[in-house]
Amino acid sequence: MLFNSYIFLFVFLPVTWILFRLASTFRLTRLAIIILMVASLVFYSYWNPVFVLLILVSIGFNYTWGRLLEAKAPPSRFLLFIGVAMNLSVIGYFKYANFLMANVCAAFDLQWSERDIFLPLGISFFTFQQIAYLVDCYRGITRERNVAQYALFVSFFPQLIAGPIVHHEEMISQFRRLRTYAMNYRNLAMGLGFLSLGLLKKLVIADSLSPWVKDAFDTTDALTFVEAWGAALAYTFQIYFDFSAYSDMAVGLGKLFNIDLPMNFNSPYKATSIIDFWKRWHMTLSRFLRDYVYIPLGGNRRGVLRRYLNLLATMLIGGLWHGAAWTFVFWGGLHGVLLCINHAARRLCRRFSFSVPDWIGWMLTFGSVVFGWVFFRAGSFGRAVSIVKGMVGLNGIVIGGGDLPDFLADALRALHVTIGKPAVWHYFGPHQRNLLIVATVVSLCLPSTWQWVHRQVGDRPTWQSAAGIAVALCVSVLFLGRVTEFLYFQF
Amino acid sequence: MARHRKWLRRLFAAIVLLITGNILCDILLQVCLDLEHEPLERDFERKVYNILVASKRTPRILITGDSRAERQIVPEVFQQQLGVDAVNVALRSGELVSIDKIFQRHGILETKPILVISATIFQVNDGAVDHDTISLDSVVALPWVDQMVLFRKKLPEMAYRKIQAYADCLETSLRGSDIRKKHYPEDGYVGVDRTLDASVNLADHIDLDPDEMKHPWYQDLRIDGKRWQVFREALGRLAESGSPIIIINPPSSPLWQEFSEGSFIDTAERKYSRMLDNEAARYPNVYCLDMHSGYRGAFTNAMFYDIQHLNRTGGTKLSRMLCDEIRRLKLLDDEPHRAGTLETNDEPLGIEDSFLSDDVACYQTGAGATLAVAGVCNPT
Repeated sequence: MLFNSYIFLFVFLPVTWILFRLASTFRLTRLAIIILMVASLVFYSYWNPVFVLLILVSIGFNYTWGRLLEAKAPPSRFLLFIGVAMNLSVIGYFKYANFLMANVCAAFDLQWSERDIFLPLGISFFTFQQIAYLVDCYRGITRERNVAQYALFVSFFPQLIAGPIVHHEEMISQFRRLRTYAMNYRNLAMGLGFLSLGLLKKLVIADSLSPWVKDAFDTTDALTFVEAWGAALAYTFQIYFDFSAYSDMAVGLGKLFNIDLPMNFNSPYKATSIIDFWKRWHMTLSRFLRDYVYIPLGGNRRGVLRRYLNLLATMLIGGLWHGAAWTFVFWGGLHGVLLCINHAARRLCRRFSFSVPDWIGWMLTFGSVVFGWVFFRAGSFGRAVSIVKGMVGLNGIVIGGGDLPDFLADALRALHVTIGKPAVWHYFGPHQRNLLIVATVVSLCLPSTWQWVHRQVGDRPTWQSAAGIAVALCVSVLFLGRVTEFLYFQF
Repeated sequence: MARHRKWLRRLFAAIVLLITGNILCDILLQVCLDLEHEPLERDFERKVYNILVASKRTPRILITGDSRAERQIVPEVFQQQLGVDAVNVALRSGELVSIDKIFQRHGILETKPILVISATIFQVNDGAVDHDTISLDSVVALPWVDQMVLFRKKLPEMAYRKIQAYADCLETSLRGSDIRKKHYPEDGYVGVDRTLDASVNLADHIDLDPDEMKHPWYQDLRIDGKRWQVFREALGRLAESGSPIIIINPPSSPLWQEFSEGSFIDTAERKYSRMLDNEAARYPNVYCLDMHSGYRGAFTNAMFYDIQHLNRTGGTKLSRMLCDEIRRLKLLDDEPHRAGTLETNDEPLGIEDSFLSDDVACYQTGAGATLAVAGVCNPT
């Protein structure tokens, strides 16, 4: 079931909310938890009921293992290892088995035909969330006594499929507090605000960019300069508006049930450095990688060189987490290298008391991120390289300039720019160009959804914001027929 | 908390206001602007106006419909073969409902010309509601609830099309109709000289699985619903004028026929032909010519420029065949051969054996230019 579908918005959500409120009104908090848990499993089973078994087994195993870890004093590192290994083996089978076998067989020149393994939705999210839970149990940070609450922590439908990735303690404490079951109009208002703006971002901007991205990335044609930049920028904005919209909707849905989910995006394209970018992009994944990979590897405590190696390893794992392909590994590695360069440059700047102007930092950061997204989206390494070639002008520059004055056209021709209609696919159609401009303005000049909703709905609710949200909701409903999945579902 | 309660009340009021306001505004505009009678396909009206009204021409034979008539039926052939004036006022994506509205407005049917109309399946498919597959005239001809049902998956498209219609109509009422002068060579016929490359494997380009079909004509194929009703009503109004009407389900290339044989598309096309047949049988002056199921073998791949459209050679041949049918039906003598439907199994008149065998030879060699698969992908 998709957040942007009629069945979710007009059947599943109202029914679940009413049942939850009824149970809460009569102070049946356990029942309220069970209602949310069952609803979450129904939500998950909508794609493929068989995989509900997988998530139930995973919940059962991790809950039991967590209890075992809590019971051991001192905590058993061996038990933790087994628990984490079990989780990794499940995700390894579903997500990485084909990739691993294909590469091993290629290395040893063996025959291998790819197996038809269906990737269960959200497996990366709920597996990593539970690995974090086991580690927290081992560290003594969290304890769990209630299996229904634990099951809800893993399966809570707003964040089950694509995050935000949450810690056990931050969710369980909310399930336990009585305030969660009281009617809270502020949360209700903010929830509707987040949900409406998320729908608007997804349905109007991200989905409108989607066909052009597909056309450009899924063809084998060599894209010229303008086409390649058009494709890369379209995907840059598509993935941001798609994923941040999902996160906004998740936060909004959480608020409707008085559950605060953490912020996942903070205007990442406004970042003036790669370090800043990773503090703003998919913040809960960055937090997970920092707490459960980077710091256990030694973080910055073992010298500069080791720090850089840790950063690189963390980002490679982050890349691989997104998908079983070398393009993802390369993307992760690229960001790892950029982070190392960024840290090294900061040290140098500090030593020489020099600071890079923000606009230069922004240009470098945004440019690097756009190049990175090309590898992230491309179906193969070869295709990514072909698009990057186009972006640096190696496939020629063709611009649509039928109305250019002769002198300008001559000057451009002297610079080896071809005037005419780009061959396959181009971004100078007014509709495409305008949408890219809108996406740029929204992501660079306007406050993030989080800031706007907190300020305009949470702190100072005005009639203007009510009207704005109403318009966003109505426009989104108009676009609801065009159902497309969220990009992050594949991860 | 009270502030947020008030905010939620305002939000609810704003949503109700927006929804009811939009619906009321839409219904009021549709009623007040009399969209049911106002032709909204301006390019179509411009062609009719320039060729017929501005020049005060009253041809005996009037060719109209969509691109299948625009690019496949040659007025000159009618003039030569039958010795009467003929013009082609067909246009890409032209629908029967637009033809009816434009002809009524300009009194085109007062002289009772013979109407030769191409009617392709897209215009009765309820699943085809993209920009190029449904005209504004069709949109506003539907009752309000049917519009919502038909466009339920593409509401923004409907909103956009209706805003276009209202803006156009308001502009017309303020400034008057702006029908610019335009010259249409060859009496409105658009000939294409290219030849289809029959060596192309269509399976590489088109998936005939109904779930995978991306072509807007055939995607979500539902042909006996709301748009069919609009089509029937328009045909009824045209028939009432008393003009003889030959309505054609146009031919397609052997390449396409072989490829789609037995598929859901073929089934739907045959069903559509039967529906046209039955509808024609309701009127004494309407004749249906099913060139999808009948006349197979009459056209070769060399007579097409893409898999759906005849080139100039094919168009000339189709026009000759139509002349023969008009003669056979004695439509020019004001004494029809018989009412109702043409027998599609009849041997087409005017096909000399030598001509046919030449064509078969051409088809077998399959020589020609590149296949415009876009011809399948672009609606008429």
